[in-house]
Amino acid sequence: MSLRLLSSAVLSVLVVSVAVGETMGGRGPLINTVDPPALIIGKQTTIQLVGRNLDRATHLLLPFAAKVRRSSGSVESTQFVVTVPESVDSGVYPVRVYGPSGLSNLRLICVGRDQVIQTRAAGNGRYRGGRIDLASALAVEWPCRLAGGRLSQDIDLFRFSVRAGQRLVFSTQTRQLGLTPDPVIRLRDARGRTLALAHDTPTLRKDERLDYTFQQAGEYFVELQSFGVAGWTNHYVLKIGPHEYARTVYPLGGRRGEVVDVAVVGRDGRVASRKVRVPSDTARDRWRLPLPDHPGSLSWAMASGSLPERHEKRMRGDGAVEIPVTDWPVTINGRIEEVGEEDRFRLAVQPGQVIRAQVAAWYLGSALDGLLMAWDPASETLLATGDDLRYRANVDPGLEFTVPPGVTSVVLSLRDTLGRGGITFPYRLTIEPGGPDFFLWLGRRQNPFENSGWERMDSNDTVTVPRGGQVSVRITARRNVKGRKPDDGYYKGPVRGFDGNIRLVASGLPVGVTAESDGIASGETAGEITFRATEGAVMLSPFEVAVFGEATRRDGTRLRRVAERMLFLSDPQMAHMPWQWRSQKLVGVVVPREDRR
Amino acid sequence: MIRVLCLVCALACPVVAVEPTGAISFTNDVMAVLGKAGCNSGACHGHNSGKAGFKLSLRGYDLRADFAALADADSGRVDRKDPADSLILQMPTAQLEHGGGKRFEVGSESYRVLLEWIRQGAKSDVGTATKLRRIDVHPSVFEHVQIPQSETLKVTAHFEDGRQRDVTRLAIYEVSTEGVVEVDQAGRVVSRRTGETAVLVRFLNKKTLSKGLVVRRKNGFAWAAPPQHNFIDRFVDDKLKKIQVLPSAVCTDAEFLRRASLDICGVPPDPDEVVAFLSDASADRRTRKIDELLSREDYGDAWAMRWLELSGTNESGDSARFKGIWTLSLWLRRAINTNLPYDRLVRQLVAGKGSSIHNPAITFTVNQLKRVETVPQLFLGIRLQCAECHDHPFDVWTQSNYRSMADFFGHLGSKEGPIDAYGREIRRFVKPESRVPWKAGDRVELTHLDGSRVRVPVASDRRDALVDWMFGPGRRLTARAIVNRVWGRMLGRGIVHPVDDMRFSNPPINEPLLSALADDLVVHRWDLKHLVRTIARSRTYQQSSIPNKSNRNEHENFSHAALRRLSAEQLADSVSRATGVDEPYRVGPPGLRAVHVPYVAAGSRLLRLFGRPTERASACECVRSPDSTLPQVMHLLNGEALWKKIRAAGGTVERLSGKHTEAGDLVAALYLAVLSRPPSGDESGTGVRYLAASKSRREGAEDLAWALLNSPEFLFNH
Repeated sequence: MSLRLLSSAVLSVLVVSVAVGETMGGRGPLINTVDPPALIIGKQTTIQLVGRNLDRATHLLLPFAAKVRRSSGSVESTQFVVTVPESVDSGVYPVRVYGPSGLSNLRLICVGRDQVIQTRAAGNGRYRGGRIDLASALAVEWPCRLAGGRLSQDIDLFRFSVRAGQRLVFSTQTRQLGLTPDPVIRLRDARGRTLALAHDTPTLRKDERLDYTFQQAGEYFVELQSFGVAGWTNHYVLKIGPHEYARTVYPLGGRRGEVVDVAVVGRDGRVASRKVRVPSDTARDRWRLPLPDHPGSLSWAMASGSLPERHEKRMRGDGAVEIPVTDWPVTINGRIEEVGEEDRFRLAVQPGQVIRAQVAAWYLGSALDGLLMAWDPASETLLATGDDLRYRANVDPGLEFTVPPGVTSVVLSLRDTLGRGGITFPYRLTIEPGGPDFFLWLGRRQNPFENSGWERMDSNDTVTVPRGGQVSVRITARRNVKGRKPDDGYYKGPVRGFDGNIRLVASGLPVGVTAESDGIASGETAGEITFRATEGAVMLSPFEVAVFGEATRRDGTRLRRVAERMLFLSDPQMAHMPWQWRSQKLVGVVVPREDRR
Repeated sequence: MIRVLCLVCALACPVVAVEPTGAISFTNDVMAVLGKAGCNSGACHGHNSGKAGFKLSLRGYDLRADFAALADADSGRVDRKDPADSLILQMPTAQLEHGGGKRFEVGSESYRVLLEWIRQGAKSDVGTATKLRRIDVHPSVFEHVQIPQSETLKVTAHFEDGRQRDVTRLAIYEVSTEGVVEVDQAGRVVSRRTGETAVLVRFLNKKTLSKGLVVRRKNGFAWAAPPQHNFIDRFVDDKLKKIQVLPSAVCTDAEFLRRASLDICGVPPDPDEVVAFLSDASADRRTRKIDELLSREDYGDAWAMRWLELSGTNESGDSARFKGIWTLSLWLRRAINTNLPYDRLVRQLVAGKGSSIHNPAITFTVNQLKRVETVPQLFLGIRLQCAECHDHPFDVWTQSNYRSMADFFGHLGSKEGPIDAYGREIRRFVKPESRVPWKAGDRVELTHLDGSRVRVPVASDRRDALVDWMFGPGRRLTARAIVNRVWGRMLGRGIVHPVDDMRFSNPPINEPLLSALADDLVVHRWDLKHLVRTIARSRTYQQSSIPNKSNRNEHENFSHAALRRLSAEQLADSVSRATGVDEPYRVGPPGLRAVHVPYVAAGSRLLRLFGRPTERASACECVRSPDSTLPQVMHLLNGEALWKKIRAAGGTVERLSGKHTEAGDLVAALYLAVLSRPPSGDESGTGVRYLAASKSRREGAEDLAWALLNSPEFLFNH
């Protein structure tokens, strides 16, 4: 399990990022769509990849061992026949192609046991005179995964039968797979009357799940209508079956290398516990938890940290209103259990201390939209409020403040901004010393709507190094130094203010590949790291590299931050791709020199 | 339309204020003179920017500011040393050039009041003067049975100290319905035509009404005692008897079916449905049809669209709110179809919590319109807009009411959510500032429109308190507003008209009927389907639109059905149904009805031409125009769009032409498809002859369909 988990985590995080030298640009293979974006465990599936420069993309890169055969290929499309072994867990996985011309961008593909029915060409579903045309429905048998597309200005309609009392789960997999449709599921009876609607189920972001029990046997219909934009990735997967699914998990992560007892809460509230070792990779702060017993869900996004972990419930004791936190830095795992609930933590502090507190919840599948506050209980003074960091398009709050003179105790409170609560509202609250800090981004910012800008950004999450040659990757520092023109006004969080030198180092280089950098000088916001491949470097063997920025504060404390793919909200790929898939490592490949045209 | 006569009459009628003896009160005497003379009216110095550098508050709602403008040392308008040289005397008497002309004579009572006030030092008594508690008018109700007939109103002011004063000649009079009566500034009312009206009487900051009915008694009038289906007919008949008008007969089954289908579901019936209904001889066929129409999803689709449009929610058809509007539309349609009780529906719309994505109802108030104005107008029929800047001139609402209403929303924060990177999600929450722990016990006092107060925790969502009031102590207002709106939608005219202007000075045409409908809705737990069903079952609703000799000139008391041009959506959907060709819209999948597309920017010329608003500055029903215009006529008569639909391959005409070999059958089928009724013998004969004379039967059928689609019978709900 751990190996599988690790391999999943390893390449899964590769998403969308990176930057490569300008040379890479649009010449490597580029995948626009994967059709169907689904594989069947234990069976053979043919997938077609459509994009550019795919004629020499001879290999498929998956994070698990699979039997793969390339059945056809042209500049604009290529087909692979894939047999997923029984040992692979259902879930969502990254997929790329590579070959002598380089390594492609990332797309996601779901893996499961249900049959895949391709419906793109079926032309099923339409309205006439304002009424749904039930005769236009495509009959399907569940359990199944319907792989469809072209929903932006159309509907798809499917007919199915059930027995009385049958419970079925209808779930879309679009944004979870980085696809653009934004559907509404509508369930209709045999007369076309609406029985139920579902859109944007909390914890699934823009995907939805409809869990319905049919009182009467008979024929029913499920309709999909999308409100999303079109584009190349206008595909969807609609899963239908009596599937158990995970409503939430707790905790949402753990300390690197430690074993965590994760409780998975099923659709009826039944809790299944499992022990999982958290990956120890320091370059990543997230991983995915397979959910083999909950086939209605894809794998769950989890966090990994380096601080001691504690649990709010165990800390709370006998209904304490404020939980004393004497040992920090710490990551506290908790949950806003009730509507209107507020969790409070009282910290022992010293005047002048800089405290940083950050919540991780939303992008780990929690429904929490956190509101974090810090106050001095003695003087009833609000010290800091954190609501929306905007970092990673995040709603998770964070704040940093300096303890005022005379204050030896502060209280941190966390609640849902909208006053909600419940079992789907778990969180991680990390409390640590603050101070000047920075982010590092891989790649350069580029207008995605300018020429093929978005493709360039999409493709830049790879490093293709010619054997005996070199390629440079741009690294951007987000310093957010007070008094200077902000280098990104969008970020409103606590990480800011480091203005010193940043050393850039690469970790995980394969034999025959080296990296060098002059770093990022004080006051500058960008630098480069150059990868070189010797004549003896192994070719066409993908590898991963983490780029770290290392720096020292004036007080001597050391900082080590990993470079992530730049987030640019207008980038279609980033807008639709689940955040967890954003790369914290470069994926590289060494190619023959003569192929670097 | 309020007709303002005060300015016109100001010169004609000498103003008598009070005998300028004793102490003159700025608050009660001077302001009365200024008001009567029209100085602080909107056309004069009460204008937002004043006139000629002199600005008074509109109709004297801000006494302190008025005193400052008039009598402050640097204003130069009063001359305390030589009072007769004061500008406020020389200008209105036209001794100096005055843009507003002569307002009163030198030596008149008005002149002497002002002069004496200046002589006494032009002092302010704002805040200390005896407060005016109320004014009464006598008679408060009058009935004239001849034309002309006159009446003189008497107005009495009641002060807090118990003093009463006849202020008949100081009061200002305005009529609500033009033409029924005339009133001069001495309070003399003269009837001019039959009808109903109300005279709004104002003195200082108080208002009252005298309601009038003018009927011409008809010799030999005999009430025909038509059948009464339910309590609605009883109240309507009571009124009709009083004004000596006989109601029209009940409409035909075909008329009923088309009318009910359009009013309840927004679309005409299908031909098969017409045939089945007309062949149904059972006594309760209309009742069953009403229930069946209410059970269709078309019902929710049609009524949801109206709410969306009124709220302005459908206006921002930009990408930023695309999904929010769609999901709200879906949610609202479903809520109405599942008959979510109105109190719960309004609670969701007004006080919805959370994310617009997960709770589409909150999108209802996420638009460019001000919640403080849209909520009272949509759900209480109250137009509060005026009170943002000044006290409402024709209603009881003050700036204080406006601010109090705003308090119910001021605590709210909103932000874009994370679900969609393009900011399509809006999240609503109570601002975090009020959530600090040491404020947890604090409470804030809120004032409702009826003056009642409520204290709520500072961190609570105050909108809940507002909705609690709307469906608690304020439920009478709420119920009257919704029953009036639904009534107006189904009868073509509100019991209070316009339906969202339930103003103090705009009383209902049939108060017992409005009250009974409102009470019935509350008794039936805010069941909107029950309300629609009750109205549709009444004889009043089912009356013919053809007037009789008695009610030909009666258009306000529901003595016959009103002819109503089809709304833009009804017309678009009716044309689509009749021609068998769907109207293309810019958004959404093909084949949707107009009411399914919740955007003003639907991309349909027909919708735009026929009055679907393209922009909305308020929640007023009046933004949507029911008028008929030349471009509409040209669109239907000469427009390509309609012609293409008639001639479309696979359309109704082609289908029916192929199906019916007999000309008579084809004519009958076209009448059923377009007018939802079979043709009369004459019509059938004419149609058959036309087909026979046409170049081809298909062309003849196209021409016939075109003619029917352009007929008033198709274009109107009758």
